[in-house]
Amino acid sequence: MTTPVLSAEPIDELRCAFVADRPFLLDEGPRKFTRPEEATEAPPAEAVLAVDGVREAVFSGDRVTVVRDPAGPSWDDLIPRVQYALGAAVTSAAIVVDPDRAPVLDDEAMYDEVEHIFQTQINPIVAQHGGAIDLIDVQDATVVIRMSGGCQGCGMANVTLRQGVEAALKKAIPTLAGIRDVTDHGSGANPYFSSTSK
Amino acid sequence: MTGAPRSRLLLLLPTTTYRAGAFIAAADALDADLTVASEKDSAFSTDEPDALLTLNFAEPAECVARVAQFHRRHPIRAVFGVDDRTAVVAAHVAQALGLDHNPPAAVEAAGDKFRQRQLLATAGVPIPSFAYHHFDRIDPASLATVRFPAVVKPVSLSASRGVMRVDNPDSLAKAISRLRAILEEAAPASEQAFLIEDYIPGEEYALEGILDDGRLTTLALFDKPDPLEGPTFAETIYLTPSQASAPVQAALHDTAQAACTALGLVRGPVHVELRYNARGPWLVELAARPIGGRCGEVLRFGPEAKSLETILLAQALGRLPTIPSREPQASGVMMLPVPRAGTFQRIDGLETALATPGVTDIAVTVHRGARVRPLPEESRYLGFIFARGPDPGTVERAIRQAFATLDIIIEQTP
Repeated sequence: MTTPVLSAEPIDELRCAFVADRPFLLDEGPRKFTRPEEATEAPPAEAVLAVDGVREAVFSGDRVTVVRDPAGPSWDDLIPRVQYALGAAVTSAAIVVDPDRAPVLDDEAMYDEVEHIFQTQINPIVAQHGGAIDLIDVQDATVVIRMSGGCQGCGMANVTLRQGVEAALKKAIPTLAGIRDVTDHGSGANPYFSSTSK
Repeated sequence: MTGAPRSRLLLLLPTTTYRAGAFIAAADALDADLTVASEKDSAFSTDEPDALLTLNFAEPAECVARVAQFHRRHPIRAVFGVDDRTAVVAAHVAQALGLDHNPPAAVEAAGDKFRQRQLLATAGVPIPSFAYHHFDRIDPASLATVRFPAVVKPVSLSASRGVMRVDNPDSLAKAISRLRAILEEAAPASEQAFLIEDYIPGEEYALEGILDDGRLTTLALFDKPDPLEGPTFAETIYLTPSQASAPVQAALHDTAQAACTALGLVRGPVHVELRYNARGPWLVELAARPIGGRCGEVLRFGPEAKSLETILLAQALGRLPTIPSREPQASGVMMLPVPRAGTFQRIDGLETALATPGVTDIAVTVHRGARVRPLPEESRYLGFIFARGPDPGTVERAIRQAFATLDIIIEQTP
């Protein structure tokens, strides 16, 4: 994997945006990290929070906005260190979508099974509401999915996942640990159900 | 080896709710067998009939019959409605199944602003003076006696929808006409009636509480730092803990308790809007449900930082021996109001706003292309800004700083 381009665009005294040539995380929507323990499944976030003087980081697609500690190093000192940390994390590709990543066998077998269920059972059902669900990955028995169409931004998306998709998958795969939804629901343009009331 | 049977929870979730995710997560946290009922079919309703039900929430008797049938196959331990309408259904269903519940009449009274005010006035709870009017039988002589400023509001609807301040006879006439159009569009089947109340000046507060055997515990008292003086009453920032003095907080709690008692509510969540001025506390609204929108996400309880929804479902399941206290840290939320009518496109500057120290999350809850209108015609929010900090002042500054960086793009609709 080549080293990503990482431009730095200071926003103000405390905030600076770094932009890469590829997305940092599987999660599509903005995601904020303030503590290393929140970032254990997101190596780029873990790496940037490990830089002395970095207080918070907001990841969104190919962009990360870093907040520095006002009492810590200046941006002149921090920018190259953040660029190095992010570049190394992305290049090691622990969480960026990387087709070369070799999942452990159990996850691989589970991926095939889940993919088959999605094609033959799940997607024909959600298509009735104009939706679709893509299988992105299986990580430690957790199924990573992305919703689109009528499911993206739907007020009942969680219900569909928990009461429909997960229930169906667990019948076939009792060892399934759960489902992780990385959909940017805020960008859904045609949700089947919209949240409008108390 | 077999374990104890798990408790089945029936969660009544309207498809328009903002809070499906929060309640699903809470049910998971409590390891409850969950059945979700909505007023419209889920895509999986046929394939997962134990997990998903469709109920006509407008007809509680139908719901009772349908759930009683389901209960025979899958015994239900608790039923919980998340909004005004489903709270009524939950009370009827729980009564029929012999579960702990609020009296249905009490929940129905809480959802009817006129009935609520009649009961509160009889019990001596301090509320604004009010008068009931039906659109088809408006008495001009009665309107001539209105004291200004006043507030016009529908007996149904929620979240300040249709609520307008009026300062003279001319604005009163316009408000009545406008409200009639709003009601005909929003709730044509509901009672086409409205109240005219005295406008009560003063600081406004929101009390989030939980009732157990009729005793009210305040889970959180929110300050509302933006003035709510009309002509419409858009909620914006909520901050907790309240900075009101201890005597004022006690007076607000006591007023809310008196209102719950007057209505006959004994169990579960209440959300109460109050004002306080030189004459003391005033009850403005009471609902037998938790706080709306996604505002509940700013609340965390006990050492395990449990969510509001977890606390409420735990009580419904009979698994809340003590009511935990809210965390000591301050928190707040801003409901992003609709600034003008049009077609929502997007909100720019989200990443920068989210990078504001203290801001923990920003959620956009309106989809691109949605037609939006500000109050009083509609009451939906564009989204929510959440923040935490050492004190309410720091939280408020973080929220305002983040909001200032947002650029809301709404295209004018022809």
